[in-house]
This record gives sequence, structure tokens and C-alpha cells, in this order.
Amino acid sequence: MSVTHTSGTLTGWANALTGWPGRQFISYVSYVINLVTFSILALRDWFRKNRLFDSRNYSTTVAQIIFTGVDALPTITLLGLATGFIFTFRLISISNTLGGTGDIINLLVTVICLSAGPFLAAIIIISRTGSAIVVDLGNMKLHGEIEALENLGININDYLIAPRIISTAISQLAITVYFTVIALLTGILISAVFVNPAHFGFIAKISDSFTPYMMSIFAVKNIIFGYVIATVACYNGMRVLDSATELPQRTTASIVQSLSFVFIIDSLFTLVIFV
Amino acid sequence: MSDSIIQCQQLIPQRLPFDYRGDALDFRLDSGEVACIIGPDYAGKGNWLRTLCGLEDQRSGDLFIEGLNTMDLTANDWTMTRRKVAYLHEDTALLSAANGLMNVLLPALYHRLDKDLEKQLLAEKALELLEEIDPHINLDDLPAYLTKEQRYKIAVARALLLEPDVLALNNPFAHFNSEDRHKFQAFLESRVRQGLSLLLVIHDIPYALDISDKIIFVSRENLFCFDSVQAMKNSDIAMVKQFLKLAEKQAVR
Repeated sequence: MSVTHTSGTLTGWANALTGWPGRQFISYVSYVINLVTFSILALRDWFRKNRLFDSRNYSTTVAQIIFTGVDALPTITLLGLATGFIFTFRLISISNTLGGTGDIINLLVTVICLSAGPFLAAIIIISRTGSAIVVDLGNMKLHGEIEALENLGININDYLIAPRIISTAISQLAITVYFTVIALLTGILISAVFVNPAHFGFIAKISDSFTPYMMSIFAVKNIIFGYVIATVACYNGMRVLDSATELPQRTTASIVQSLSFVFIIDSLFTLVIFV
Repeated sequence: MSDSIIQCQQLIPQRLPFDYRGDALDFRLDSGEVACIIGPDYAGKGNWLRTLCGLEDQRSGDLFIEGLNTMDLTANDWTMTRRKVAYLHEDTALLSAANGLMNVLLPALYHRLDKDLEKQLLAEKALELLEEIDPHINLDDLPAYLTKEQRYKIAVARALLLEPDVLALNNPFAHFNSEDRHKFQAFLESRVRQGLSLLLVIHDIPYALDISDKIIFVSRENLFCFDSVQAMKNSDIAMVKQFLKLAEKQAVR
């Protein structure tokens, strides 16, 4: 009897162990499918009823852009200055040791513009905007505000979700442009003032190195980052149901999931562009 | 069918919190009519009201709002029915991030009522409506700084600005003191005279008998729909008689 019991338990353990990766994989895939469907439905409802900036959602869209983009400028400025000093200045000042100017420019464009800029901006947006969206929507759900709006014939996808997704994507792009400009200019200015005035020439050289291909990669990557961060945040916010304890749980989940997605998307971009 | 705003045949709600084996509801609400749903506590009156408004699924039967079968609504039809049949419960939430006036205006702006009426005129209309309901509400305050009664009045103004045909209110006087209740009742009656229909779930039975054109009596066991208050009073149904007696006693106290 005990042997049967033991073997049953062992079989159960074995099944659980071998089945675990499969179940995890299926749950991740279904989560991604849910996210994609959620965002497509939100955008479908938006474009069915609106032009890009429509008067009825104008206030929501603008408020989100101000919160995500404009209010984050002090933090982004500080990060840009620090990055400019730590990376750009150091790289330019050792340019003679490293090799030709072309290599340094290539390095700056790759590291600051295509990697560090989008990534740092994404982290700021995940921590500020992503968490704020989850708390905002979660609270609205908890307090019955969303139900009350729906009862008045207001489409939540169109009124609350899509403006947040679109605004965050736009803001991510704008913030990264701002960050990149600050980070590059700070480093170039410091090195030109303290090391060699000829380093001012880096401004023109870096500008020239921006090909349309590079710029489109830069834009697409940032828009995808913003889109994914806002989608994950809105999705988690809307999953809050009845209990206030769900709110911190969903906020944490949103931050972790957004970070994971940003890492994965960044890796995929690196794979596509550089390999 | 096209004259009635709400009409149902053999309707039973899906989400009643008990096993209901009573009769189904055959009912119609026309323009300017008042119908009250009354009955003992925990009889599922709210579920019946929400189902009649098209907000909850029905277990059986057909429900028509403005002549449209609620089972065949398109997205646009749904939006239209939600504007035409405004449903509020006693704690209907306002947008916590918007002040009183913006709360009233936002749904109207969303539905583009400012297309027919200039935005300024829409705001004036909202202010007139709020003035009529309660001139003492500070409209610059966020909902958190308003009393429950004031929030409820703003929610009613928000719904009325969309010019609904039916105002469905679940327990509408829950947060009112006696004086404010009478003022609010007078406001509702003035709206009814202008053609608004009311569908109410109320516990104030004397008021229900006073204002209603039709009454739906709901209990856990069965329901009875009366075409007039007199028909209800003349009814031989023991359950109804007992309920009216009890309500009368409570009113005297």
C-alpha cells in the first residue's frame, strides 16, 4: 500500500516537475496574447471614434503627456547631465587612446542614443508613469468610477486606456530625444572646455552620423517601449477587482513585467540591428 | 413597441442572489411615467432594476429599450441606450480627479453634446441644472470634499445633462435628510412633468404609492406588476397586503 502511495507521489512529483516549464511557458504566452489583445481593442475603439487628438479625449491625452513627459524633465535632465559627464565626456576625452574619432562617434551613437537613452527613459517612465497609471485606474475601479462612466455610455478603452497608451508612447520618444541631446551636449561641452576646444566638432560629426535608418530605429524602439509600458500598466490597473490589497500587488507586478518586457525588447532590437 | 421606452416580456434577471421560481415580468414604461419597484429587503429589487435598464443579463425573456432588443445591440446602440436610460445607485461614484462642474460636463463632452450646443452654452445648461437641484453645492470642490448627498445630486445632474428618457434610481433618498428629500422629490416631479420617466427602487412606500403610475412588487418567491396604485391597493394577494400594512405601520411610527 505504502509502495503504491510512494510511487503515486513520485509520479506526481515527476509530472509536476516536467510539466512546470510547459505550464509556465503557456501562462507567459497567454499573458502576452492577453496584453496584445487588450491594447489592440483599446486602439481599435480609439480610432473608430476619434482623430488622433480628439476634443473629447484631448484633456486625458494632454494631461498624460504633461505628467509623463513634462513633469519628468527635471529627473531626466539630471540623468542626462550625469550620463554626459560619466560616459560622453570620458569617451571623448580618451578618444586619442581608443582610436579614431569615427569609432568614438559610433560608440556614442550606439551606447548613448540607441541603448542608454531609451533604456534610462523607460526606467523613469516605468517607475513614475507606469506605477501611477496602475494606481489611478485601480483606484477608479475600486471606487466604482469606471462602472459609473460605463453606465453613462462612455467607452473606457476609448476614454481612459488608449489616451494613456498613445501619450506614454509619445512621451517616451520625446523624453529620450531630450535625454540624448543633454547627455551628448554635456559631455562634448565639458570635454571641449576642459580638454580640447576642437571637441566641439563632435556636435557636427554626431549629427552627420544619424542616418534615416538610425533615426527610424531610434523612434520605433522608443515608441514600442512607451506602448508596452503603458499597456502593461493599464492592463494591471484594470485587473484590480474588489480589494484594496490588489492595488500594491498589481503595481509591483506592472513594474516587474514592464522591466522584463523592456529588457526582452531591447535584446531583440540589439539582435536585429547588430547581429 | 416603438412608443414605449422600456418594454419587457417574460423577463427574469440572471443574477438574482437566490433561486427564483416565481413569475416572469411583463412590463412597459412609457414617456413621462413613473414606476416603482418595491418589496421586502433582500428580494433582489436592485437586480430587477439593473436588468430592466439593460445592465444585467436576463435569464429569460426579451427586453426592449427604445424599441431595440438588448440582446442584439451594436456598440453604438449600447452607447445610445446608456444615454437614454440613466442608471444611478445611491453611491454612484464621481470622477475623483475632476471637480463638481467637470464631473457634470465630462460625459456630455464625451458624447459630443457640445456639437449641437456650444461648449459655453453646455456649461451654462449644466450650471442651471445644478442650480435647480441644489444651489449650495461648491462646484469647484473635488468629490472627496463634498457630502454624499451633494455627490449624489451631481451624479443626477451628470446623468440628466445627457437628456435621458428614463432616470432609473436605486434607493435615491438614502443620503438625504427630510427637508432635502422633499426638495429633491419636488425636483424629480418637475422633471416628470417635462416628460422624463422614472424607474425607482425605493423603501419609502407612501412616496412610492403617491408618485407611481405603475408598481412592481418583488419578493423572493414571486413578483406582481400593477398598472396603477389603486390596483395594488385593491389586490387580494396576501403577501402584498401584508407588506402594505407593515409599510403603513412604519410610516405612522
